[in-house]
Amino acid sequence: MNPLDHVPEPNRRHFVLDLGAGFGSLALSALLSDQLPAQEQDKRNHPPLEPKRAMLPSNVKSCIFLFMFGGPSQVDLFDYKPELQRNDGKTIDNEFRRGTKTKAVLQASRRTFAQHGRSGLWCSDALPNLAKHMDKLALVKSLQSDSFAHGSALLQSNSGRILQGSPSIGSWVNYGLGTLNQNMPGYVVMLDPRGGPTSGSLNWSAGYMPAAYQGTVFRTSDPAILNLRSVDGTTRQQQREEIDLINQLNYQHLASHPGYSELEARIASYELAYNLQSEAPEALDLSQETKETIEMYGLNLPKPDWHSLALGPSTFGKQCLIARRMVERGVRFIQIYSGGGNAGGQNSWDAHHGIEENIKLHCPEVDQPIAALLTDLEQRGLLDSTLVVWGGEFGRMPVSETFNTGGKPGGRDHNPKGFTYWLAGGGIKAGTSVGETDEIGENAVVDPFHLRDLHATILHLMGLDHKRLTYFHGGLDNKLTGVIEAHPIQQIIA
Amino acid sequence: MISRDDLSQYSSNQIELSQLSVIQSIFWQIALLFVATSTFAAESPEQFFETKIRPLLIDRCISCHSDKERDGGLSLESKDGWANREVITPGTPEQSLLMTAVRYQDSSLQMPPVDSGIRRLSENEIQLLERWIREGAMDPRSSQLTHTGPKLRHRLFKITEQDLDHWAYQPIRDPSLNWPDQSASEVIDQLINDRLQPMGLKRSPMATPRELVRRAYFDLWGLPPEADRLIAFQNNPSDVAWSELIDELLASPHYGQRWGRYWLDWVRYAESNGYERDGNKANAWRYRDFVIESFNQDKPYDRFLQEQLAGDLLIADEQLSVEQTPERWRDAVVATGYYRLHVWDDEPDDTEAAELDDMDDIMVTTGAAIMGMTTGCNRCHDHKFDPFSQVDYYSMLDLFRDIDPYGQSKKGGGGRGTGRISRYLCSEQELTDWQAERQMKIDAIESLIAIKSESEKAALQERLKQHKEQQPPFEQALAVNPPAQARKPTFVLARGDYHAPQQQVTAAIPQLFETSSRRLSKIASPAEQAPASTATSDVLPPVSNRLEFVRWLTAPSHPLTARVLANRIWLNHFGSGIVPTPDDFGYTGIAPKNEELLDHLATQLQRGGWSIKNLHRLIMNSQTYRMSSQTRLAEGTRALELDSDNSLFWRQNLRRLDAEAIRDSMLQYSGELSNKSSGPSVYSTLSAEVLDTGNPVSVATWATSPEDQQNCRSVFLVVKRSIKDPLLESFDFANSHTPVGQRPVTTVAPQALMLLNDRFVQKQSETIARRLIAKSVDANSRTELLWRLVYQRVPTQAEQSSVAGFLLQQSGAPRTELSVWTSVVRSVLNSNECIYVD
Repeated sequence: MNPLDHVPEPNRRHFVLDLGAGFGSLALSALLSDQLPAQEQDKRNHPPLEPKRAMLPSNVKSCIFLFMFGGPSQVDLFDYKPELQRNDGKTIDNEFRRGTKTKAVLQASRRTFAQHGRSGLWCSDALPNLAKHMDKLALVKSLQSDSFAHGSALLQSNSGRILQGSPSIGSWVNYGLGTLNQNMPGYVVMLDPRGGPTSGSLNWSAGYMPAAYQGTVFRTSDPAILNLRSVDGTTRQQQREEIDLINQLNYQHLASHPGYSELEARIASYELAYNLQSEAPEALDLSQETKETIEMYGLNLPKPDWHSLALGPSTFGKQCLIARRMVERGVRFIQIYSGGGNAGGQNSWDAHHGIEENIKLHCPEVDQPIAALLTDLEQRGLLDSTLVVWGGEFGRMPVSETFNTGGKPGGRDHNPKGFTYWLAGGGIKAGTSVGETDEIGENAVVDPFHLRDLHATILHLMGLDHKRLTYFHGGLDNKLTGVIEAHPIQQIIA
Repeated sequence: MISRDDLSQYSSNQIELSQLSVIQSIFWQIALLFVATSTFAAESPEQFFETKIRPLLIDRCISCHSDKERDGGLSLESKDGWANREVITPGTPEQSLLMTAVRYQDSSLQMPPVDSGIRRLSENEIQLLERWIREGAMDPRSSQLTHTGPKLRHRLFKITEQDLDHWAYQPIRDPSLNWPDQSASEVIDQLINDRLQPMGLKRSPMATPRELVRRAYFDLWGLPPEADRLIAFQNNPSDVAWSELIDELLASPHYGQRWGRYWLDWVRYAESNGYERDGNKANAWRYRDFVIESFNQDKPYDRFLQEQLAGDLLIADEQLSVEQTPERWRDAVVATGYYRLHVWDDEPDDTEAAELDDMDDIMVTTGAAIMGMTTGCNRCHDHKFDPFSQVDYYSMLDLFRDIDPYGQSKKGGGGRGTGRISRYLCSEQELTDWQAERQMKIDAIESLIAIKSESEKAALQERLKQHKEQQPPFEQALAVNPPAQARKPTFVLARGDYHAPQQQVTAAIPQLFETSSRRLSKIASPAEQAPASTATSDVLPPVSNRLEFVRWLTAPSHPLTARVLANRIWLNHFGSGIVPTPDDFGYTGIAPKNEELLDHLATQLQRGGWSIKNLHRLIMNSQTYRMSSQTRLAEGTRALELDSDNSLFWRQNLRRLDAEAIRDSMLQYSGELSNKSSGPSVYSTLSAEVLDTGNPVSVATWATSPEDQQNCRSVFLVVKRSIKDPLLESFDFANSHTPVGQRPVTTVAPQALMLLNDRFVQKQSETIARRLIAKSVDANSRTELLWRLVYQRVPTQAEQSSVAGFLLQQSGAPRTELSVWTSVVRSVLNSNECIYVD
C-alpha cells in the first residue's frame, strides 16, 4: 500500500559511488558540466559554486581584499603632495559635499614621505614595513567614486552601485569562477572586532543572485562561522552518526523520487557541512604555523595602552595569516575589514576627529601584518596566484576639519574625488603608479579612474571579462560595472 | 553603445579622415598587388568569404559578437546578427561603422577594444573587410540558434506591429467557450491535455490522499496537515471531500498569513529604511496586517490595488470617513503604506537625485509586481527591448508626483520633501479637538507663568515643555497624506540625470496601451459601418491621476494585470509559472507555453469579481493540480525525456518548503506555535555571531522580544533590511530590496549546518523528544509517533530498523535518553521528506 514499504535498504557506500561525486563535490551534475562559463550553465540544474572556466587567461586563483573602512587618507600615506606641504594653513574654497563649497584651511600631512625601492614609489613613515614592499605594488592614485557618505560609498566599493540590492564583488567572482574547495565557503569576510562596517552584511550580500554567493563571516575565534558547532554539545562522532541516520532516511525517500537531482544535491550538502566543520576550524588553527611566521605577522605583540581603541597588529595580523591559509585551501575571495563600528569615531579610518591620532591608531594595526602577508605569499610561491587589493570606500580631504574636533584643527573629511588604492600579486605590473591628483591631493586630474574601472581590473586579473560576466535580473543582463562604460586599468596590468 | 550623436560625429570626422584614407588606400593597393593578384580574379564572392572573411570574423570578432553573446546587440556570427544593426552598409565601406571601428577612427568606438586582450586588426585584415563590404558583404551564414533571445530595439523609438502583436499585450481571450459543458476546473485539465496530446503524453496519475492533504495544507497555510483532517480524507477521498477541505483551509486565518507573505515578496516589503543606519519604519507592520487581512477577507484584487495605489484619493472619491465607514476608511489609509516601503537614504549625496531614486523604486515595484513590466531600464533611455520609451517612464512617474516624499535626512529640511509619511488613524475632528485641548492647557500654563514668582516658574516651564512635546494619542500608519504642497513638475531626464531636464511631461499611461487600444477598436469596428457607440467603448478614458490609473489597470480590457496575478497564483501552486518569469512579461521574459491556460485563469479571475480564493478553488479542484509529483511509470520516464523541466505540467512538481514553512512547521510539530495574528513585529533572539557583523546603529534598534513571544509564525517576524533572521535567510528568504516573484531555491552546506546545529531547531527537537518519551517507553512506538507527527504516515520496516540501529549505536555513548531522542527527532526534521512536498 505504501510505496516505501517495498524499498530495499540501500547500501550507503554504493549509493555515494553511484552519485559519482564522492564527498568532495556537490552532485553528479557537477561532474558533467565540463566547467562551462557561468552564463552558459543552466542556473537551475547546477550547483552554484562548482568550478567554472575563466574567460581570460589568468594565473590568479584567489583575491584578498584588505578594506580600510572609514576611508584612509591618501595624502598622509601614498599620495605625496609637496604643494600641500608648502601651503599648510592657507585658506581655499573646498567642495566638502557635492555642490557645497566652503572656505577651508589646507592641512599639510604631519608625516614624512620618502621614495622606496627600485621603483621609487612614495610612501610615508606611517607605514614603515609596507614601505619596504613598494616594488611589489601597483598604485592607482586617481580613483573616484560617487558618494560622500559611508553607507553608499561602501556599497559602491563592494557592489558597484550606491544603492543596495546588487551583488558584491566577491559574489561576482564566485559566480564567475566557482570555488576551488567545496568544503570551504568560496567567499569569506573577516571583520574588525570593534564592529561591522556601515550597512553590515549588505556589503557582502549576493543581492539579486542566490544566497549561495553571499560572503560568509569568519570569526578568528571558535566557532568560526555561524552554527559550525552544535549548541547542545553533540560530539563529532555523534554528529556523523546523526548524518548517517539522515542519509538513510533520505536514500529511502530518494528511491521513490527519481529524476529530482535536488534531492541528491541536498544529501551531498550534508557531507559538505560535515567536512566544513573540520576544515573551517583547521583553517584557523595557527598551531601549525612556525614561530617565525607568528612573529612576522605580529601576533605576539601586545595591545598598546596609549589609547583605549588601539588593538595593535595582532588582530589584523591573525586575519591576514588566516587569509593566507584560506588561499592555500582554495578560498576564492577573502575580504578583511580594518576599522569597524560606528562611522565618525576613531574606531575606524574615519578621521574626522584628528588625522594624526587616527593614523597612529590604525596604521600600526595593518602595517606589519600586510608586509608579512606579502612576504609570506611570496615565499610560498603564492603571490603570483593571489591578488591583494588595498583601499577604502573613499579618501580624505587635504583640508582640516574642525567641526567634529571640538574646534581643534586636525580632522579630515570624506573625499570621493581622488583617492588611492593599491594592488599586489597576480597579474599586476609591480612597482608602478598610475594617475595623479591635483597639487593638493584633492581631485583626480591625471588619468582619473572610477571605482568601476578598479572592479573591471580586479575581474580582469582574475580571468573574468567585466563585459561578459553578466547576470540576468529585472529584464537586464546586469554587470558588476553597471551600464556606464568601464575599462580595466591597463597601466597596472602586466 | 553607439548613440546618434556618435553617428553624426562620425560623418564629420569622415571629411578630415578622407585625405588620410586616400594615402592609405594607395599604399595598400600597391601592397595588395603583390600578395593577391593571382587569387583576386578567379575568386567568387562565396570563396572569398569562406577563405578570407569567415576565418577573420571567427578569429577576431565573434568571441564577443556571437549570436549567443551579442555585445552591443551585434553578432558577426550570422547575417541576421548584423543585417539590421546599421553597422555594415553593403557596397559602401565608407558608410559602415564596422570600418570606423576597426580602423580606430573614433576614440569612443574601437574594435577590438584596447583592453579586450585581442590584438588590433592588421591593415591587411582591414583591407579584406573593406573589400568584402564594397563587394556587397555576401554572407551565407544563417543563425544556428533556435532561441535568439530578445531583439534590441531600433534606436529611434517607435511602437511597431510586432510590439502590438506580443502575446502579453493581446486582449485576454476566453478559451472556455470551446468547452461550454465543462466546469472551469475541468477546462484547466483540457487545456493541459491539449499540449500533452500532440507529444503523445498524458497527465500523471493522481497523488495519494496523504500527499494531497499535505500539499493542500502547505500550499494554503504553509503548515503541515492536522492528523484528524488527514485521516478523515484518507477514509473518504472523494471530490466533494476534497472541495470541502479546500474551503475549510481557505476560511482559516492561516491562509492570509501564508499568501499575504507572497504579496510582501512581490512588493519587497521591509520594516526598515536600509542604508547605513537602516532605521526602523515605524508602524510598517500595519501594512503587513492589512495585506494578511485582505487575503483572508478575499478582498477583490481590484479593490486591493485601488486601496494601495490610490487609497487617499479613494477616500475623497467615495467619501469614506472614520465615522461612517471606519473599516473601509482605515484600509484606504493603511494600504497607501505601499508607497513607504522603499529603501530611503537618510544621508544622500544629492537630495534631488535621491528623491528620484525613491520614485524609481516605486516605479520598478509597481511595474514588476502588478504589470509584469521591467521599468528600471527606461529611466535613463528608451527600453532597449520592450516597447516602453523614456517618455513613458516619466509620464507614468508623474502619476506619483502628488505623493509627499520622505523628508531629506536626519538633518531635516532640504529639497527632497516634507517627510509627511504617516497619518493618524483618527478623524480630522478628533485630531483638531485634541490639538485645541492641548493648546488650551498650554495657554493656561503660559498665563500662569506670566504671573507666578521665579521660584514657581521652573516647575511650570517643565510642564509647559511636556505639553508642547506631547504627541497625539492616536495610532499612526505609514501612509499618503492629502497633498500639502504644489506638485513638482516632471521632466524627461537625459540619461536619468536630474541636472539634465528635457521636455516636461504630464501623467499618462505608456503609449503602447493607447496605440494598442486604438488598433483594437479599429479592428472591432471597421470605420463606416460600425455604430459610433461601440467604436468609442474600447477607447481608453484619460488617465491623469492614481485612481484613474488603477481603474485602468483593473479594467476588463487591460491585458496584463489579471494575467500577471493568475500566473503568480499558479506559480505558488506548482512551483513554476505558466510564464516562468513572473515579474517580466516583456520580450526579455519567457513566453508561456500554454497561453490559453493563462488566459483561462485570467478570465476566471476577472469574471469572478477578482476573487483570489475563487482562483485557488479552481486550480486546486482540477485533476492537474492533484497529479502525483513522482515519475515511476514508463510513461513518466518518456515525459521526463521530452519535457524534463515539466514546462507543460504533465506532473506536479516536488517542491522544497520555503523558509517560513520550514520554520513554522517545526513550531507546529513541537506544539509551540503561538496564535499571534496581528500587531507589532517580533524580534527573535540573534546569536552574537550575527549581531557582531551588523552596524552598531542598526543593531541597536534590534529590540529582542521576550522568548515567549518568539514562537509566532514567521510572517510576524520583523523584516529588517540589514539584519535577517539567519534561519530564514539561509533558506532563501526574499531579499526585500527588489520585487521577488519567485525566490530561488538553493541547496548549500550552511543550510545543513543550520538545521543540524542551530539553537531554534535544537529547541523544537528537544520539545518533541520530551513528548515522545513521555508518551511511550517503547522505541518502536516512539518512532511511529514521530513518523505520524512529521510525515503523517507509519514508518517502513527499513526506517524502523534505521532508527533502531541508531539507538543501538548511541547506547554505548554517554548520552541521556532525551539527548539521543533529540537526535532522532532532529534527523527527521532534517530529512528531505520533511522539507519537500510531493
